Amino acid sequence: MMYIVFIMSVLYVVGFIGFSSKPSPVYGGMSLVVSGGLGCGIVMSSGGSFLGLVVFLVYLGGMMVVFGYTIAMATEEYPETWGSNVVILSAFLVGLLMEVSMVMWLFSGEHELVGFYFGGLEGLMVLGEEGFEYVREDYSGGASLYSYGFWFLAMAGWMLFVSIFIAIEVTRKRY
Amino acid sequence: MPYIYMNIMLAFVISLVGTLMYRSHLMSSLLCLEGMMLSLFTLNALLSLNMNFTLSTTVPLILLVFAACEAAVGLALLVMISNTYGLDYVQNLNLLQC
Repeated sequence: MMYIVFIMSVLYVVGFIGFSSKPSPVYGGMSLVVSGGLGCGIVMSSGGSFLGLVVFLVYLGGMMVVFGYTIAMATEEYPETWGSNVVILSAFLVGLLMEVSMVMWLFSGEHELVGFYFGGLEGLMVLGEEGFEYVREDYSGGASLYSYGFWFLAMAGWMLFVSIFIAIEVTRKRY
Repeated sequence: MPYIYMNIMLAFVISLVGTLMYRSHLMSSLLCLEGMMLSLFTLNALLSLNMNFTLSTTVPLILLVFAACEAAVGLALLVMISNTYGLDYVQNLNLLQC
């Protein structure tokens, strides 16, 4: 149970390999949804419950739904999956081999690279929390978007507004 | 450097390689682009939370807004390609020939 977050991040990478080996987009979208759920779990294990909710609501519930029905519109009759084509399967196995070798290298002892020490086990310690925190970091950070980050908010809102007009203009018929 | 950051950066590099290497569909490259955005979001959120930079927790939210705009424009282009050619195969995009 100590390594649960690390196992989640390894499965996250396996999900990424799953859609980067380019099966048919139906299966790629499914793998991205699985990776999104695992990413939410990783963020929530560091105490970011608001940001995990944002991943599920905005990313998976907003963007992936739109991707889902666009995939349904532009798909083929016999979609390729990981087991039906040797190219996809070999790309998946190469990525999996890379991940497994990186995990084995990480657990083989202390390494030093330009000042960063990795290989120690202090990154995996889960400290117990007693009582309630007085500052919920990610909620107050999300709320500071409206006070300190007003210019961020203005630019993001303006960009969303302009991108609607961009999408309308791109999909205009030529005749 | 904790192990989780290395896994998430590896996920970014894997989806970057997946974006740059085309197979038959354009849609799968757009999905790899979304994967890049997801790994950047996760990395930003973890770094802001673990280093207790409270004001930096707005950065993943803003990143997600810009990723949504980019996905909208990419999907609009894909819809026009699909309307013109019937499918979104990359081999159909051959008007500019070397």
